[in-house]
Amino acid sequence: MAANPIVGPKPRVNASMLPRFQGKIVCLLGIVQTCDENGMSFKMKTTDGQDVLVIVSEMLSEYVEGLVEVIGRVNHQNNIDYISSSTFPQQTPSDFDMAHYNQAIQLAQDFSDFYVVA
Amino acid sequence: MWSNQGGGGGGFDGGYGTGGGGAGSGGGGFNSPGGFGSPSQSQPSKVRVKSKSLLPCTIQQILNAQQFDDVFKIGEVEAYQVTIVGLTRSVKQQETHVTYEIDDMSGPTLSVRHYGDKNSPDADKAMPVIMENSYVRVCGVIRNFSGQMSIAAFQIIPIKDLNELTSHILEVIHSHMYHTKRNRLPEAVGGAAKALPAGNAFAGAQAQNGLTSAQQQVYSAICACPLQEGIGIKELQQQVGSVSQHALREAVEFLSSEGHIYSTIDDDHYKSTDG
Repeated sequence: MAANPIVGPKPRVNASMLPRFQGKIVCLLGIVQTCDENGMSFKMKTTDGQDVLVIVSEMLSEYVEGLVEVIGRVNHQNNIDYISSSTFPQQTPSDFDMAHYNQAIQLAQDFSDFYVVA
Repeated sequence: MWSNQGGGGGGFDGGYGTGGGGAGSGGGGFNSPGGFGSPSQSQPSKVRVKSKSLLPCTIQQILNAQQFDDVFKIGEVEAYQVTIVGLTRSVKQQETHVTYEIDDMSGPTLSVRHYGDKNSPDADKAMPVIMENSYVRVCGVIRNFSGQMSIAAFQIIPIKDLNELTSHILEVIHSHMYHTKRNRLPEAVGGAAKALPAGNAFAGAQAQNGLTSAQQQVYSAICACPLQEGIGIKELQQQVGSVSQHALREAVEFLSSEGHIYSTIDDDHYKSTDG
C-alpha cells in the first residue's frame, strides 16, 4: 500500500467511536467481510462487532482480506475514506483476540494521560 | 645420584631466591596504602543512576519527553530504556547502521537507529531483515541530538502475533500509571494509616468475616500496602505491633491457606487477593 505517512495522530478506534471522530483521521483495525466488485469499497467487521464501510478513491493495488488495519478519514456517514492500510498475512484472524484489542483501545481513550497521542 | 652437583644446588637456591623475592614484592604491593583509598574522597560524582527499567511508551510520549541533565522524564516518569511497537514506514541501510522510521499512530514517526555491522557473521540473527510496512517491537535508549528525539535500538524484532500490539497498549497505560502513582506516594509506606481507598474494604468490619482480631489486623495491613511486591514480614511486624511474631506467622499461614493473601517475590512478602 502507498507508504504516505500522515504526520499527526491516528487514534485507534472501533465502530462505536467513529461519530466522535468525524472529519478526523483514524486507524481502524478489523476483518474484511466483503469486497465491492469494482474494488472501490469494502466492508470490515470492527473489534466491537459492527460493520464499517471503507471507501477507496483509487483501485486497490492489492487484494485486501483477513485482518487489516485501515488508516482513513471518517466522513459524515461514519464511513471511512481510505488513505492507506496494512495487512497481516501471517496472522490467523481467529488467533487475534478482537475483544481484548477492543478493551485496550477503550482504555487508551479513557486513560489518555498515560497513553499519549499528539 | 645424591651427590650435590653445583648446578642442582644452584638451581634450587635460585628458585627459592626468586620465589622469596616475588613474595616480598607481593607483600609490598598489599601493604601499599594508596590502592584502597576511600572512593568518596575522590571527585564529587554528578552521574545519576539511570532508571534500569524498560518502559513501554508511545512515540508521542518520547517526543514529549523533557530532559533534565542526562535524565529524560515522560510526565513524572523517568525514562531511559524504552520499548515501542509500531509500523516500519521506511528502512534505510547505511554502512554502520540501519535507520527505521517507526509509526505507532500516536503522532509523527520516530527515527530508530540500529547499529550493527551487516557484514559480521551473525548479522542475520542480530539484524534481521525488516520489511517496510510491517509491525516491529523496538527496545532501545532514548537519544536527543540537538532537539531531535530518536532511539538507539539494541533490539528490533518483527511482531509475529498481533496480540502483542494489544499487550503493548495495555503495558503503556499500566506502566505509566503505576510509576506516576508510585512516585506520588510518600516514602514511608510503612505508615499504617496510609490505606488506599480501594484496597481497604475490610478495615472497619470486625469479626464479621470469620477472622480473629489478630488475623484481621494482619489482613488489613497487607491490604493497605500498595507496592507491587506486597508487604514484607518485617514491615508487617512493625505495623501490627500488638501481634506477636509467632501469632503473626500463624495469621499469615492461615490467611494464605484460606486464599486471602498470596506470596509474591519470596515467602516473606504477601499481597491481598482482593485487588
